[in-house]
Amino acid sequence: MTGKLTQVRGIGPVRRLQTQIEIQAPIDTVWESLTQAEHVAQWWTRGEIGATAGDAIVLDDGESLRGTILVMMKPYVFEFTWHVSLEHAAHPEWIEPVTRGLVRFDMIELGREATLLTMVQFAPATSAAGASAGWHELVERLQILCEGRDIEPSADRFEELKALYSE
Amino acid sequence: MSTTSLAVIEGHGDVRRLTLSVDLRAAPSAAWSALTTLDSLQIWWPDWEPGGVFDQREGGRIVIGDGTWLDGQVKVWTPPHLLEFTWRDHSSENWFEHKTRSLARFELLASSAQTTNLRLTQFAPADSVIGGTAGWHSFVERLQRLLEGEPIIDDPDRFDELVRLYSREYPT
Repeated sequence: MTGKLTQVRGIGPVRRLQTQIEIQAPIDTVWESLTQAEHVAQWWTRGEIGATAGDAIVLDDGESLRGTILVMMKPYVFEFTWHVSLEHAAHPEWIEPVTRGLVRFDMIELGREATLLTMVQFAPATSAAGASAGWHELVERLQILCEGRDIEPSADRFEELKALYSE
Repeated sequence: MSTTSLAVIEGHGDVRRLTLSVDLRAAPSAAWSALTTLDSLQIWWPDWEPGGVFDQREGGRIVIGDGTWLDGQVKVWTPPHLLEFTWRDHSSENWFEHKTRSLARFELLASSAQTTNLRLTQFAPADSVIGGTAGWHSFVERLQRLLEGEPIIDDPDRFDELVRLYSREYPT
């Protein structure tokens, strides 16, 4: 059983989620795995990801996410909103409306073959446990991909992590 | 006045990320107002002076004075939680011209009934991160004083003192 990768902070209706993981791979490898759709399909889901700020990011035909890229500073910061319009969001309950579900990934080199990846998202308090588990599972898969190992399917992993974050 | 813990500086090679976290005695809306209104900025951020520009929208321009010091672009604007801007968004010969454009992010999050956590993150060149961190630290101390109703004292030695502290904590 791994410890928690996601820290949850805040009071009231909004929580700050920060998921952090050290990946034994060069920063450019992590950047490509994070921003190129063919790689993202392996650790998250299929979709289309624009090349620059202002472009769209659409995952699962918009069923999961239909947002806008706000920052793309290779290889350090990749930031996008979860939805363009809350009204048309497939899962508005996942989204903190003020911040539009804004997701920020940032990366910093710890060495030539080591990168610290940090994800930050503000989320509704009511969905913080599920979101924490979801991000934990996703960055674990991203780590495995970047380190050249095989991602093994695990149907129970999300529920196991959700229980961990609900404690 | 509340004390400000030292920022954390991380990284290897020519880029660093600094993170400064402090609890402000104010609601998020009051902290946001202090961070973004020109009248307040001119009190706690010593470089702000009349004539600056702060176009408060994503894509808007942010300029201090004549732009020599800071002339960037607002990347994220979501009151009262997130503000992000580049330090310089066009070419320049000085140290601000850098692949991260010294992207600065301010996060505000209610941390108790009376306090808001401010978390400042900035990417900076390795050779200037100590000075940059000391500068932010001294500015945030002034912001704390403003929000706590304390007088803001111009202490010409504070920046150098902080540079020494950070240099000891993060020797090159």
